[in-house]
Amino acid sequence: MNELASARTASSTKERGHTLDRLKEFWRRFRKNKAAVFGLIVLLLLIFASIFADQIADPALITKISMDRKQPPSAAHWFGTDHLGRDLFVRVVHAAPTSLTIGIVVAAFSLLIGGTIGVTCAYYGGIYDEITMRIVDILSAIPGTLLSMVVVSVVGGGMRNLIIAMVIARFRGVVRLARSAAIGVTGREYIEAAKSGGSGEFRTILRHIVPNIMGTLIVSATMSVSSAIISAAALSFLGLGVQPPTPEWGYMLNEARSYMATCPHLMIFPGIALVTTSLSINLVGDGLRDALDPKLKT
Amino acid sequence: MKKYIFKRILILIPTVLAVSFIVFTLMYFAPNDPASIILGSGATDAEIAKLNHELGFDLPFLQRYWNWASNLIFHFNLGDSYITRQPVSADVLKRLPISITLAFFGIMGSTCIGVPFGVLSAVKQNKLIGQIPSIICIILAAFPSFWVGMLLMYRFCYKWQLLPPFGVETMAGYILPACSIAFVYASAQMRHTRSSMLETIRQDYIRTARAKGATESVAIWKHALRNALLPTITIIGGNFGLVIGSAIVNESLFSIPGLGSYIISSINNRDVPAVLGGVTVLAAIYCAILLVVDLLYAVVDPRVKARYSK
Amino acid sequence: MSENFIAIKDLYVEYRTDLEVVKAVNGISFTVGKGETLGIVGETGAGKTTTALAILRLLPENTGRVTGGSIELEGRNMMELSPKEIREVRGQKISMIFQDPMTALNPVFTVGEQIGEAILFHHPETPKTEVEARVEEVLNLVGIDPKRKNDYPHQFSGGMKQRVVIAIALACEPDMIIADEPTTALDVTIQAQILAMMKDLRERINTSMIMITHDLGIVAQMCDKVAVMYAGQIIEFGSVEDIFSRERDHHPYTVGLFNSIPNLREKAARLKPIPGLMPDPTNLPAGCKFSPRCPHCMEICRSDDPAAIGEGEHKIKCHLFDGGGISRGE
Repeated sequence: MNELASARTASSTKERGHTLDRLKEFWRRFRKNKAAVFGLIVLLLLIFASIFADQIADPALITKISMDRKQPPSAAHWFGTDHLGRDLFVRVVHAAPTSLTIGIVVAAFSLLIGGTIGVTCAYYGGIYDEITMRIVDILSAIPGTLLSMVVVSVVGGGMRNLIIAMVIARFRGVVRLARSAAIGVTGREYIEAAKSGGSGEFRTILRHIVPNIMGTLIVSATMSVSSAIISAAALSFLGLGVQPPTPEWGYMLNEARSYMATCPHLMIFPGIALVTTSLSINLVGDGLRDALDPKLKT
Repeated sequence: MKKYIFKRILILIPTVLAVSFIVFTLMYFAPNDPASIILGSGATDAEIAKLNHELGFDLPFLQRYWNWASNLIFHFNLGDSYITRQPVSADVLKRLPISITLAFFGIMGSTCIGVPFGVLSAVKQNKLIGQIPSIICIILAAFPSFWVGMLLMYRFCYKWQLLPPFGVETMAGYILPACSIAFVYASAQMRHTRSSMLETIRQDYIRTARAKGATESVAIWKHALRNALLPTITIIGGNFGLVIGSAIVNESLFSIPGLGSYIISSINNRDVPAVLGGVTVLAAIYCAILLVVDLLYAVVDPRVKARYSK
Repeated sequence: MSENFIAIKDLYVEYRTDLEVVKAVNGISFTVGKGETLGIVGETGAGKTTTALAILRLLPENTGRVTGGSIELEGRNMMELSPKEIREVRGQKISMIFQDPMTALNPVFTVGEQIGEAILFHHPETPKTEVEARVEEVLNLVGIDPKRKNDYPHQFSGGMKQRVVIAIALACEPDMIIADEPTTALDVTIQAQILAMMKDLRERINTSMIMITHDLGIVAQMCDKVAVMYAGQIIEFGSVEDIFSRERDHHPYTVGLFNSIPNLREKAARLKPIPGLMPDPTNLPAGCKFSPRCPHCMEICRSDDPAAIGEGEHKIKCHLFDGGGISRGE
């Protein structure tokens, strides 16, 4: 009995040491990818700006209307002012936490819900798997944006509802991904064999399957953050997302539409903000993917 | 083969119905009842109750769905819009071709940019000219398509006055929105074509071709490309959902009277039958396209064709 | 002595990646005359396939490199041929048959198209009817119904696919065929059929052949001369009679190879493999490459790479026979 216990602790310490080595190796590979590191730096700056948004730009100015309407960028207003005379820089900065929050929360919940369903489908198989995948197939027959729009039409706008609508539209993709990754990693026979060993194996299996597919899922979740941010911007652009007074880049772009010809700066700055955020996250995601499995890179 | 096609089409119908059921269920939870929407805020409670009864609003949930569904299946009728009191199907059918044309142009554009870029970056992998398409596409993938649309609109409609900013009275009206869709999804196509090409080049039969005396270009452009492009067809199908989403947003931006903008305005007006009809038709088209893509793949790949002919 | 069709001298081939250098071929020399069949025997990783690829310059572009020696085809140095000239050699003067028939054929082109290509690459002006006629002729040669030329590869079994590959190789009546383990991926019964067919063809067309295999049985059936390869070197070379003769001396590795074949007549409880593994090609031992595994290893073996010693054609790279001549059965 004691031998078993000490063997277990020995193997888990070895595993932990092993894991630490793998993390270090992973970081080394990630560091080699200059684009990914650049993306990471930009992303960290954005996160910093989001956390300290209030310090960077006075929040009172978000909704402060003034008579200085539609001014181009100047020393007083770095990004100019919008059609209501509000300082654009302040609004763009304060929209960052909105978008980042939406992106991260949506990706996280999709990962959690979709991942759990996918892995359990792969593990249990049988009729549970069949039925769940049928339902996912049917849900997949509705294009994502459309589904989100329908949900928003029912529950109303606003950031919280937008997140719910987006998770509903996205989790099906994660289910598929998690399920095929789980099946791919262990192979059906392994799961069957382990199951026949007794239900005590359940936790151990999860401990084996999950770490192996974690890499794929994390890369997918990272990319998912940036696509969620853009989707949220699109829905807000249509008026079906974040509602005023919360500033949001997509919504700002919608406001900029009417003044496009005379005030291009109104659409340039929020757009650049969106692209920068999305690009930096994508670069980090690419870097993660290459670092996790260098074989995948050609 | 024909049997397989028939079977697939047959499965399409319950899938679309299931979709409509899900949407119907979702909309069931909407806060407003139809009569309030139609009659507006000035109506009395009695008038509202009467109209609701006429519209069948007070019937049980499943019966309402069955009424709607049987109306669709047997009479091809999608019901009447709450707002216009006209058949939804008329509007939907009028707008559907426009949306499909836009999505089609978008897909064509993204394939025409993405596939050559992907092949180029795979073949010239280690040289500079191969890196450039990758970089361009990574950057493009970060752009929201509606922002690309806005930038294009600014440049081509206002500054240079070359193209119409609104509507599709002429075919020229499709150019800018199709471009904004294409630029963004070209990246996904490029990435996929690239990895498919890289994998194909490594295959043994490419070495066989070289051993026969093939020139490098024949080995790559004839032998590798045909195999590498096969999965592209599936990817086009897979991306189509995203393209539709993008098309909907661009319809709004460019004020194009397509199905997407119809659904958006119906949502804003709380016009439930219109939303239901529009979404169902769009989902049906989407499923049909996926089916066509699958069949196309079977036609092009002799191995798949053999499997389905059994 | 027949004129040498191919002559390889001191060939060195490496694979270079970012992380390491794999020394796949380390100084081999041999010749193959017209109409002769050379067998190259050895375990996986001995460098046999690399040698074959090097002859036709089919090494992977980014990593494979010939770093020394020469390959001469009918007197001409092949390393100096232009890309156009080497393409003319491939498929026409020298054809290659690869190991795995399942992946050697392009799945989206018919078998007829792929055979026809071999002809058209070298004689692009050939009229279509002539190409078709030749395709059918060659399919007949390898025992496939010519009507199947419009079938796709997936419609053929493994053995039939390999016949198609051989048909492609024969399309332009090459002077030499390099067969890289052509039957390894096939069932034993199919193997026998394919070998019989190849023997028959060889007699009819009088091609030279390099037969790469790890199967001594095939060598005995098909080959005139044999080169035994180990860790990128030819450690024993000779006529097939020399190699298979029990009276002659042999390299300890060759002895090990023969011993590891189970003997049907003896009652043996265990197989007799050669202990140990082939050395890591990125980190080859100094001296004789076989020394770590050799039962007769001496001091000198660990430090000095032996020269190829022997009389006439039979050569052995081993310090055991250093002291003057190979004994003849004492």
